[in-house]
Amino acid sequence: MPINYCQIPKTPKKKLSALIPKKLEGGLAILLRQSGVEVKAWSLFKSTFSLYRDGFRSMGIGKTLWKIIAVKLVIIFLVFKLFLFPDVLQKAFETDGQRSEHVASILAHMPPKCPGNPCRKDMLNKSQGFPLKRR
Amino acid sequence: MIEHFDLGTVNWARAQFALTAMYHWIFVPLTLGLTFLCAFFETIYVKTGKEEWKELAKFWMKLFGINFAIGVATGIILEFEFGTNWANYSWMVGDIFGAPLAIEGIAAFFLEATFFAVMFFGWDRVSKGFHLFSTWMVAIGSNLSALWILVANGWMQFPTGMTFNPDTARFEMQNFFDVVLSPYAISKFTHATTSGFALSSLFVIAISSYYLAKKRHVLMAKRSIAVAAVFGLVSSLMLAFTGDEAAFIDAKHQPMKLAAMEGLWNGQTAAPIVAFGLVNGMKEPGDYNEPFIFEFHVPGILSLLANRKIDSFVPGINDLVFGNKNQGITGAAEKIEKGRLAVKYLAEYKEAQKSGDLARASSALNRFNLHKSYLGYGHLQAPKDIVPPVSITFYSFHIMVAVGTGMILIFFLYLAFTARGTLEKQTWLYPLGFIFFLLAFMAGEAGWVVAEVGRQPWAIQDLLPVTVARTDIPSSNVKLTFFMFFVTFTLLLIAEVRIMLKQIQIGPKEVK
Repeated sequence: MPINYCQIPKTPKKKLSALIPKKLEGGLAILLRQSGVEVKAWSLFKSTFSLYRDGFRSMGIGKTLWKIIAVKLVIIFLVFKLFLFPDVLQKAFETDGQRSEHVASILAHMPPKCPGNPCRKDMLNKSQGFPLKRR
Repeated sequence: MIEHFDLGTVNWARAQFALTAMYHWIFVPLTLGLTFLCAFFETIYVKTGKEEWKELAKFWMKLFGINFAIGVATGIILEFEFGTNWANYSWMVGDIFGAPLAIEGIAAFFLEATFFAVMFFGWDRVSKGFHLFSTWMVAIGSNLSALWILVANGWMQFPTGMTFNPDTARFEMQNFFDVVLSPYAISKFTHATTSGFALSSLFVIAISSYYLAKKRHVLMAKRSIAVAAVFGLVSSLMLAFTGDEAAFIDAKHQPMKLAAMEGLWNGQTAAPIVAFGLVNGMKEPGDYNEPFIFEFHVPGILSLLANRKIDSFVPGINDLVFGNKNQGITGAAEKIEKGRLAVKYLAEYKEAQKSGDLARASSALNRFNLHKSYLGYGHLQAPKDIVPPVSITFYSFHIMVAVGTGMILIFFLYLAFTARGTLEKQTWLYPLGFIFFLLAFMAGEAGWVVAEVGRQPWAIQDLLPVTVARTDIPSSNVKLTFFMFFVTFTLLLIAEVRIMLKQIQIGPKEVK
């Protein structure tokens, strides 16, 4: 059994041309007619469109939520992304080759050993484990 | 441990990432679990044909919608932070993360966006069967979206299915399935999603308990609790099982994290698990201070969890820092030496390439390849650098486990009283349901703290420390965005709570 995608009133199958408003007669209508699209597909499109349209129109709390989403997206993309979170490597270098050279140079840079902090060589020599009092 | 914090750029960047991820994780677990609960309520409606179940499903869907709308896109900031604060890391992992994150984006868009509209707008417009199908697809799609992010995180904990290319300075994917099906990816996914299921069940239980206490929507509340308690109990048991599995793989691949989780400084056979204790924050690797001010432990259990053998050896922090030849454990000093060789040969390879000396380049590359699995260690300065903040990891782990265990009991009590038909008389249980809902949030965040703080200093385990992964930018930049982000997302959270409280006050539509 195919899934019943929409509860569409059953209508006798007609060619699409009968449904296309005269205003639309032209390239699109000719194309659709030639491709042999049937009424059901067109109706599916229309009911999907009306599902979204009516859904958005009848929203209650959803309208407030969409406003919050819009404000949030503006802050995220137009403030945070544009002014505060630049892609540093993208901005600093022109090519991927330059970027990889830059990162490789950081990776190939040897850090100093234990700066300002003795290495506790006494500890490092105790490689047989550390028998302390407990745990 | 706070005195050890150096609030330089790297720590501000870490703090910002943690803040963003923790805010994001307020919304995500509710999304993961509420979608399934809505699907359960609607399935019962379709099976029984009773309108009350439909109204129930609609009510919880509304709360889910509020949470989803407020939470949507909060994770995008994390990606921005990669490019700004973690540019080196971002460059190096681009090839690995590209595929999973692209799949996530496509799956989220097609599955969620398509079926979301049907779920919210399609009541009485599409058939019952198709509406139910859409609700299930939203549930599955949301959880599959989480899969890809968790695969990426799992790879950072256990980098597999890749090779490091010194020419591009990138980790390049060799086997997609090794990455997706790695034990860490599976463990992260199962543990994170089941925690979301348990949290959402507590969300439903807490709100329903409020209605029972106020003697409003009583039938709806009892029905909601019945479904949520079953889902919550099964999820919390799964959570314990997946948590045990996570600790087991930590013992294999991240033994330092496991040692920090349990405050185990010196390895032992029949190692104990600490049921509770107060950590001595002054303790350092190799000193003779006591690890705990007080503790209560159960012998042998940690060995059982880590190796499935009660008399087996579990390495402690000191064993991993200084090595333990008797147990065949290589110390960090030796690994640092190998890492330094990797760094040295990488530098030599790049230099030889520039000067066109192909023979020297080839020789350096061969030597680099011998030591490249220790590359990250080459950037550490001292063996003790491999020790994560022990107190934070220990307390976070124990809070998570304590709350997780308590959740099982709470779900069981709600289910037992529901089955006996005496839930309305158990008014003492209602505040507990609410308290555990808040605690479950805390446990979820604590779980991420264990996963991420417990694996410091690594951005990518053993291969890339956070000090190299970061971008060289002034810490003032990161501080500014930290506080801006904090204010913005706190306002969003307040908005969510207020909108949600208003809807809870209104409650579901009663069916006459």
